Amino acid sequence: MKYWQTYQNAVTTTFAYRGNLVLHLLTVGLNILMACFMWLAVYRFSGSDNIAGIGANQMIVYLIVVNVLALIFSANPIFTLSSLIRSGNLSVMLLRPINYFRQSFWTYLGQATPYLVVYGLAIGLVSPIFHQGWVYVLGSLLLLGVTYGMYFLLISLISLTSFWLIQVWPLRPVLSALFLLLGGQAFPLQILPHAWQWLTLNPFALAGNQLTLLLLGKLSQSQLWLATGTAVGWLLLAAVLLKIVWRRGIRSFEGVGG
Amino acid sequence: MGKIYRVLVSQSLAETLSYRLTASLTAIFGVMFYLIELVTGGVYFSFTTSIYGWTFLDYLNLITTASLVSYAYQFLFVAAHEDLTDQILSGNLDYSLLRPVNSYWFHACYRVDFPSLVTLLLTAGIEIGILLKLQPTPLNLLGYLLAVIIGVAFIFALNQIVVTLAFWVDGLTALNGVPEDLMSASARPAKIYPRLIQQVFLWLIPSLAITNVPAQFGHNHPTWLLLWMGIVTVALLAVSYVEWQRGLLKYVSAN
Amino acid sequence: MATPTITIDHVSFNYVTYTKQSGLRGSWHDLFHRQKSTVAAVQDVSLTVAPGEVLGLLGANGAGKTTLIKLMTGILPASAGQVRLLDDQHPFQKKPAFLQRIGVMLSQKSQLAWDLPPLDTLVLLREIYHIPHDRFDHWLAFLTEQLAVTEQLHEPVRKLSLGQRIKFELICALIHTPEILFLDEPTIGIDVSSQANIYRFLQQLNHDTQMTIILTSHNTKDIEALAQRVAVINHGQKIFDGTPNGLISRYASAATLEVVTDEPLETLPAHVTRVDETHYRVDATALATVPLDPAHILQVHRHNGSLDDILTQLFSEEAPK
Repeated sequence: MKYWQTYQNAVTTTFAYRGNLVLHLLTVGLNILMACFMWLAVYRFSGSDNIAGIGANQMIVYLIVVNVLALIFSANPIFTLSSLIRSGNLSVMLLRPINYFRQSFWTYLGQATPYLVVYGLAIGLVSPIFHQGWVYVLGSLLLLGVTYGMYFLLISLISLTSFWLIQVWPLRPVLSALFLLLGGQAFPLQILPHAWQWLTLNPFALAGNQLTLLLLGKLSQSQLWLATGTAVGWLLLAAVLLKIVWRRGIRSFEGVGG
Repeated sequence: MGKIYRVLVSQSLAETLSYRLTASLTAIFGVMFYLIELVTGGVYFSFTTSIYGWTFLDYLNLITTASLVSYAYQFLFVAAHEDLTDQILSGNLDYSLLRPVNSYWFHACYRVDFPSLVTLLLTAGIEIGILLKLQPTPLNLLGYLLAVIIGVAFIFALNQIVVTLAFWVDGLTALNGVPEDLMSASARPAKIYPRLIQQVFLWLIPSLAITNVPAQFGHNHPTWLLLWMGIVTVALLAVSYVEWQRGLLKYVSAN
Repeated sequence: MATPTITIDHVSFNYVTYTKQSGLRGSWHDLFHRQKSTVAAVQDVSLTVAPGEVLGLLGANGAGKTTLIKLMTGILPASAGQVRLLDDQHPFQKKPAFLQRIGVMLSQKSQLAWDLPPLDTLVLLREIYHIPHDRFDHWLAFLTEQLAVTEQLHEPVRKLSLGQRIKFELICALIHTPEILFLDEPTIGIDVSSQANIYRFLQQLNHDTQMTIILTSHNTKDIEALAQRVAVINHGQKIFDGTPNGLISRYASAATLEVVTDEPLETLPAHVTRVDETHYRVDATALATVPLDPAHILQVHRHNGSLDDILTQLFSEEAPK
């Protein structure tokens, strides 16, 4: 398979910069530590072990998992495409007999592999998913797959702004802020008042908040299907927009480059 | 040196004005992350009125002071440190060796970052409001200001040490983000951490002291840790100065 | 002869390199037992420069000429021997009073702030070197006019051409009116007219102010246009010290002349061989005069008589033991 090599390269590159990888994980660990101890203090002084249906121990697992998910759902494809466009190397890529987004997807998967392994192990070892019957297990796998694809398409869609924007670096802080607040990285969205619960269906929340709750076994069957349905909706929307915008982007790129 | 600094500041302003969009975006993001901290704090305190004796207002004082110290560092030094990293990696320090000025201070003060001034002024404004409510005694207010100044010097020294490491280590770009991450993880009451972590980050690498001590002075809980913070900061500055001299020697001999 | 401005007395400079081993195991091994080796970049070089002299340092890439400049300017400390500039015995201490008196322009390095006009960098240098405002304004106006870059003074550096940038780098090196000017590869990569402009300006500067100029180059045109004296450095050692013409007469093959005529010769005189239609080679060993009609001669020069030829020949030789 021709994309296998792409995937392997991405994994190897991630490990080649292992010094940076370790430091990166260290700082993520620091952030998790801070959030955990802060929440433990909140539990202690609130005098209750149940905040919006989540116990203190589960909160710790939540914070760890959601931070790992934040690593899995990176914004890297934006910067790859932007540098290809700025350097003019995109024309070279387009001449190759491959689909740009398929290749990009395998790179994305390769870069996230170390974290995906962690998430997979967490599901396999500590998650109560497997005690809930095979329909739930299949549903969970479906949600995982759909959400992963959906988020990749979403980021790819955002990456197309590089055709028109000269600088894309501001997207990085914006996306990490969105993931922090809307993705449930700062706190689980469940603790918000009921009127705000629709927020849990935004693409960032599906990737962060909902996948974490899934691992914790906190998603009911109906919530699972709702999340999957919404993810499919976002996925289709992103795919359609991607197609339209990509065509326009290429036209403007060739107009400039030609 | 004063005149040179004035020229450097006006050049920084000129550069900021030629990159207006970037500058305004940076300012907006600074405010955005401060607001996220605020919202998160609001969430914490919606479940309890006090954590280890810190009320929401005390907590607000803590995170605002931590932001204030960070943004003051960013305004004064971050652009210079970014530039210095580039200069070391691209081997462009020869002229610095040839100018009749102290190269350590020249590079430390090479640029100020005006976009951070926006967030600095905003957090300073909010902090003044908080202090008006907390009503520290004049002596404690003095302690607060002193602690903030030491805090800025501490973050400067930490970053200077890390940036200058580029003379020996290359390709470890993530290292430059470590001081910032350390400081953001320290923007919480020290007491939430287990005793061991507290001891390490109050005494050994006093990043927790840098954020907690001024906040404590703010709500009238003066502490002798201020003195220790000062001693460690002076020591770190000395280390960074020696490291700079050694780094230059390494630089010229590696040419 | 007056007291020399620069005295280099048996100076050597060594540096240590580490050989890296490949692979993960190699890196692990290197962590504990690195293979050291000492490289002699400059070996036992002695040189004096008189006040007001223009000295060209010639050498191939890596021959040691830039290292020599760095030793003189105090960027590098000498491993052995003495470097004395002006009345300063220890350039490496970089005393402000010493640094005030030298100007340096290094190729491939820039001191201009990329996003700002050159004027901003120059104003910064004015403060660094404590130059009085009126003197600064006067001198800067003169320099920019001479180098034809007055209009570019207010344009951001990133918008300037390479030639204009180099000229401003030169102005930066000169702004505090140094007594000694060091130029490392001053004309690398710039067009012929900018080069000519820079040569003319430097000659005039040297003539009017008696500024001592040391320049390195592998562009022999720089040396021919400017240098009154050349020192040739090869493999860290000085192999020649004298005038450019002295260098040519030392190394050119004296016995053979190259002659170019305006039309082909009908008959070939004795000792003359044809290279191509109007290009002949004359074996001068047996002749007292050139056996060709002067009316038809366009050029005569010695075989291997250009600096380029000589240097190519010199630098391709093995390191002297």
